Amino acid sequence: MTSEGDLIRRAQAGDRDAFCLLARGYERRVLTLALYYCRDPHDAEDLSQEVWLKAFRALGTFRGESSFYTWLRQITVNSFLNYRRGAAMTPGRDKRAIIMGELVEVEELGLLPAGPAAQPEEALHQKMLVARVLEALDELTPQQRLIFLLKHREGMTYDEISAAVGTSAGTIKKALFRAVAKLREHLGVAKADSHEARVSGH
Amino acid sequence: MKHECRDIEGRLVDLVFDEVDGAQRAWLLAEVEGCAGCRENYRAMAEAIRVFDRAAEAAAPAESYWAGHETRLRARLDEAARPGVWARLAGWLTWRPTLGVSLSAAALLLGALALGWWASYRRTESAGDAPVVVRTTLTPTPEPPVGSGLGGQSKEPKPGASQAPRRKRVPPTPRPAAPAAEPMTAPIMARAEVPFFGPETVRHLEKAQRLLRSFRNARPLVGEPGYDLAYEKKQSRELVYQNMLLRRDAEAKGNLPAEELLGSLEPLLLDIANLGDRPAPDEIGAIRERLQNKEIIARLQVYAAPPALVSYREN
Repeated sequence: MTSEGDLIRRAQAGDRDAFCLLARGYERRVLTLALYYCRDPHDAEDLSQEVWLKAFRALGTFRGESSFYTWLRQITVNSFLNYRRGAAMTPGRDKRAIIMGELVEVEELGLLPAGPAAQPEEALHQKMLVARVLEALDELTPQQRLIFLLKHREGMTYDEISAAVGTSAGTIKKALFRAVAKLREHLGVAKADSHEARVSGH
Repeated sequence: MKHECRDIEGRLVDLVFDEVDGAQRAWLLAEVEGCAGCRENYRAMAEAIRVFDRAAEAAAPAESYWAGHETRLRARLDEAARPGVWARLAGWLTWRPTLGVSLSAAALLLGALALGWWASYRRTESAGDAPVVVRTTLTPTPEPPVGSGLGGQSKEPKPGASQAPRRKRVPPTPRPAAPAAEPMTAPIMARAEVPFFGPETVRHLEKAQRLLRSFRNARPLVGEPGYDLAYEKKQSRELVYQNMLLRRDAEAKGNLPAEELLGSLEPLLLDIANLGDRPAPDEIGAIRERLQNKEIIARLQVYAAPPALVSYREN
C-alpha cells in the first residue's frame, strides 16, 4: 500500500492522481469544517475545493517539518479567513439565515443521509437539529465560528488556535463561550438565565 | 477559598473543551460539583456540545457525494494546471522561431508607428510651446515712456522707432520637450471651434473694455484746458502690465487670436498710461481715432462675454 510520504512526493512531482489519493484521506474533515463555517453547502464545496487547489499549488513548499494535515490545516484556516474577507465584501451574504427550505439543497448535495433506512420522523428531526445548529453558528462572527470549529472539531489547543488565527487566548475563550451560549439558546438546552440571575445575586 | 460562581463560569469553557488537566481539572470539577448552579451550567454546556456533535453526524455527506467531489476536484486541478494564453503562445512560438522573429519585428514596427503618431499628436496639442516666437505689432503712433506705475516696465522713447514695425523677441517659456519648429496652422484650426480665452483673460478684457469706454466718453474740463484722466491713466498702468503677461502667455501657448487682441490693446493702454497730467484734445483725439479704427471696444465686448455663457479654455 502506498504511504502518505510516497503520495506527497509523487504529488510534488506533479502527479495529480497521487494528489487526489492524498486528498481522499482528509477531504471529509475539510468539507465538514467548510460546511459549518459557510453554513451553505454550495459555498462549502467551493471553499473546500479552493483549499485543495491551494494545497496542490503550494505542495512544493511542504518540507515535512510538520504532519501533512497540520500543514494542510493552516492552508484551510487561511482560506477560510480569506473567504470571510471576501464574503464581507458582499453585504448581507454572511447574515443569511439558514431556513428549512435550504436543507433541501443540503439533501440534494447528499449532505444529509435521507436514505430509506432513516425513518421519516427521525429524518425530519435530524433536519431540524442541523438547521438549529446552523442558526446558532450563524449568530457568531466568522472568526468566532472558526475558533469554535478549530477547538471542538479539530481539537486544537488555545495556543495552536492563537497561532493559526492570529488572536489572543482571551479572544479564543470568549469566542468559545459565545458559541456554546448560542448553541444552548438555539437548541433549547437548559436556559442559563436562572443561573445567571443567581450569579448576579452572589 | 470561597466559591465564586462568576469565576467558575469563566473557566467552564476550559473544562468543557478539555483545556485543563491534572490538579486544575480536579479542583474545577470539585467546585462545579459543590454548586448546583455551576453544575447545571456545566451540564447544559456539555449537552449543547453533545447535540452539536449529533447534528454534525447527521449532516455528514452520503457516500455518493464523494465520487462527484473528487471528479470536480480533478477538473479544477486540470484547469489550474493548464497553461495560460501567454504561456501557450510563448510555447507555440518557441517551435516557430522564424515566425516569432517576424511577429516581434511587426510588433516593434507597430510600436514605433504608435510612438510616432503620439509624438505628432503631442506636438499638435502643444503647438504654442515653441521656445522662441517672433511677434510683429504695428504701432502707428509713438509710444511715450511709461512711469514707475508700470511695475518696472518703463521704456525710453526712441526717435523714429515708432514708425517702424516693432519686433519683439520673447524669452522662451520653460516647457519640457517642446519642439523647435511649430506649425501654427494646425493649432489654429484645431482651436477655431473652441473659445480662446481663459477666465483670467476674460476678466482682463472686461476691465480694459470699461477703461476704454471711460476714456472714449471723457469730456474736456470745463473752464480749463485739457482732460482730467487721472483715473484712466492709473487703471491703464495697472492693466498694461497684466496685458503684457497675458500676451506673452498667449504667445507661448500659440493662442494667436488672444495674442493678436492683447497685442492690439497694449499700445493703447500704454498711450493712455503715458498721457500727461492735462492731455491736449489732439492727443486724446489721436488715441480715440485708433480706438475706432481698430474697433477694439467692439472686439473686447465680444471676447469678454460673461464666463457663464461659454466654456472657457485657459490660454
